Amino acid sequence: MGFANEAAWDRIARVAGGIVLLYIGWAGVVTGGWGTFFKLIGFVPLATGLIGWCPLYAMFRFRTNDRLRDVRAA
Amino acid sequence: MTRSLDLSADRPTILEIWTPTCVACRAMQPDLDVVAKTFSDRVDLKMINAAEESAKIRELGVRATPTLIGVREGTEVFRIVGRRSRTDLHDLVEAVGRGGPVRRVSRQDSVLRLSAGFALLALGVAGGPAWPLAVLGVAVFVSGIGPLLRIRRE
Repeated sequence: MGFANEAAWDRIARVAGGIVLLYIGWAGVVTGGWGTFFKLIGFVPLATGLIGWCPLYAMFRFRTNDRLRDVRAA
Repeated sequence: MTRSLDLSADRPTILEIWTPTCVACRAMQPDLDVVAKTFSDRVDLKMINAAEESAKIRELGVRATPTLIGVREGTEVFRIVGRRSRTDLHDLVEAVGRGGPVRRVSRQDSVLRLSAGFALLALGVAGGPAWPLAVLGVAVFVSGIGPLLRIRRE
């Protein structure tokens, strides 16, 4: 996809991390306020990993897939 | 998004934007060469070195390498950024050559969705149980299997 700013390893790490966070929250490994936090925050890395685009990366013009260093230097 | 390009090419063309320092470009090049040779009777491959043609790159709105742009009848029909497998490249070039629809979801995306969906479903059913996770897993799994089934039908 043309808008992607994440490398494959980045996406896999986000998806895996998101699944772990969601599991911790939704399976009741952690309860209370932190449990709720994990329940919600896990969706963020999961979604950004599946889409391949991170809004924070875009905001700071950062990307983990290859950059056009030569062009930007020109 | 379609973009009009100032290309006088009569035949469908794949623009490959690369740089000599781009590791992914070097890794993908052998696969792209093989695919381009396979479809050389129908599709042209035009390589653009971004380090040497920065004005052209800005005009095209390219921000990363490797970028592949499929052009048919002067119009951009797809744009992908990042390394793709030989199978994905074959499908993209073949679609541009025959004038058919270009698949937007790569096999890598499908596999990632299928894996994530399966993991969510398994954890949702076995570990807890946490039904919202299982439901999410089914949704993610289905979103991955749909494009894969379309790939097999084409």
